[in-house]
Amino acid sequence: MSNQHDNVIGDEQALDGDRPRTSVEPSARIQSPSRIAWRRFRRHRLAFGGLIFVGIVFLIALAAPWLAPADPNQIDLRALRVGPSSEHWLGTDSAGRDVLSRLLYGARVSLTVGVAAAASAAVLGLLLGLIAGVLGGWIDSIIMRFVDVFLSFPSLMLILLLVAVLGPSVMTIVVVIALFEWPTACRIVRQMTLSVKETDFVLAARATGSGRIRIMLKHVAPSVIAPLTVVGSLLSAQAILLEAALSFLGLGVKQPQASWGGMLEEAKSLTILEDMPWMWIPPGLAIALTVLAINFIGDGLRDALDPRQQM
Amino acid sequence: MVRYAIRRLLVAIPVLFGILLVSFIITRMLPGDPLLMTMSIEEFDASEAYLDQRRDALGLNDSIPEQYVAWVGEVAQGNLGTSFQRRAPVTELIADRIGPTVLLTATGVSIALLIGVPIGVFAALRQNTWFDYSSSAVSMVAISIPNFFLGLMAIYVFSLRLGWFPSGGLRTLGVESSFIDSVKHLIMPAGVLSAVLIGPYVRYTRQSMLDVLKQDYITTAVAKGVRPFSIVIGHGLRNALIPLITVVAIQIPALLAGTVIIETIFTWPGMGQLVLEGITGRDYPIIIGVVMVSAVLVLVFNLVADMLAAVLDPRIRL
Repeated sequence: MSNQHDNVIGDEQALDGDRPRTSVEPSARIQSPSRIAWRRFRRHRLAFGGLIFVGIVFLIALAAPWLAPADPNQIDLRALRVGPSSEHWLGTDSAGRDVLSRLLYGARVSLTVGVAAAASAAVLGLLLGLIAGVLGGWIDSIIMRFVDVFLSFPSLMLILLLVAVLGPSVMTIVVVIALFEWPTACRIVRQMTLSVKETDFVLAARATGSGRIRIMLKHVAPSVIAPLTVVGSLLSAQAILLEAALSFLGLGVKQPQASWGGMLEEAKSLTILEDMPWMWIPPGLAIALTVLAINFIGDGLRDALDPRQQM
Repeated sequence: MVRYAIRRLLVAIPVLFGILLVSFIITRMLPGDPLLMTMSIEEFDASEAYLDQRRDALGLNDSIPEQYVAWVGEVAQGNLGTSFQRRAPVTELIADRIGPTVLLTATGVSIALLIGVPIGVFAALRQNTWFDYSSSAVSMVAISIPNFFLGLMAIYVFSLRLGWFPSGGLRTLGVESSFIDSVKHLIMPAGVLSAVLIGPYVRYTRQSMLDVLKQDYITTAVAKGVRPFSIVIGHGLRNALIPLITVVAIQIPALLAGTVIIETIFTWPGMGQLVLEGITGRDYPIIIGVVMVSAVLVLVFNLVADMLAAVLDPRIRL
């Protein structure tokens, strides 16, 4: 534990930048920014651990058919709600389905939603944020009014409504979550764009005759990508939580498809909650750990990519 | 400032009706026939003419624009329509449910502020110490645990295993309601709600304290020989709280609407449960009514946040 703290202390000091770093790494050759960022990221142990954890969850999701001891949707009426045993390591649920297998397959839904929703939100936010920031004027005003409306409105209620209209499926959830997450990305991209626009290299590009589109794509976009990855990782954590919540309310992915949130739905019954913890504790922990890992990655990315931080 | 408020509210009215039009259309797109949800078993054999008559009575045979105009007419008379299923005025249903939701949210936010602000201040004063890092690590964990899982664990541990608190509801049924009984029912849902909020509050307070402590007037106060305690509280916290108050005010409507999950777990009879019932039962008037109430709350609280900031910080001019 103390080891971990020491490490975090080193990183945070560098982040805050209000005290000079005393140790300067001897560098024989010039290091590219991405190389520096990667080294900084690796030094952030919690973030690096998070990356490894998410990597493992990814592998599990991919290899679920080979890892799972049973078919996740196989109903066994002779083994309803049995506790953990050598046959069913994590027991079975109310339909006699193997909990471990459903847990492994459930990783697919969470990661698909986490990646697809956050990526679509980030791309949409990037495009609209760049357009708003670079073009300005009335286009900027219109886009930002939309952002304000989306951000200020109680989104969970409209998400519930939209999911009910579109019908439960992974695709629906991805679309709906992305729809409500892009404004966050858009706002940050626009802010970054406005500050990058004032830099000397953009002025130089304009002086040498580059058009707005070229400046947007060649000069502004690359500078915005780094902060966007930080936002993206946080959005992805949120998306996973939202999907789990929707599935928990019975509005998420369609049964019998296994999802972590859906597995927790069973715990709404007090008997299951009290006497059959094997049904709901593993998926709950899976969600919490995955989200925590992604949040740590986001934190590490923020530290590693912070341009104010001098090496 | 009053003129500013009036102008803002006038601008907000078209936005409000825009939001309502969109939600109105979405609501009517819900699959399934709301009439079937309200019928008793005997009515299933009824003739088509009878069903049509029932639909007519509910106004479901009109086109969506006609229904919208009829509804806006009702709103102008201070009415939000009648629930299909409960056959009661929506205003009454919402009035019944808004109290528990407000109580839950207000308690949750207060707990989060009472815990989060002191931790944030202390973390800022002890920047880069073990306290600072563990408080940020703990808040990271708190925002990563899904609130329904946290709620279920709370029920499992404190209600089912230890038996300290009831697992749900507003008060014990069949017993005369007492203050202590209500508090016991409130503690777990409000605690779970606050768990998600504490982390962000710690972060805002810490960041804002760090910014404030760098200001010249803090140096001046130190040079004058003001006691450290009154510097931190009177000069530091007083100014650091301004951005936090704005954030909290803006968040409140989303919290009121976002308690759906906590209300479901703790069978808390609030607005979140009402809207969930409305969606599953295709009870259009309830859905639109709750959307309307939260949209109004959003607009009002955004305005309140701006005005509070101006009151607390005289440098801000509206």
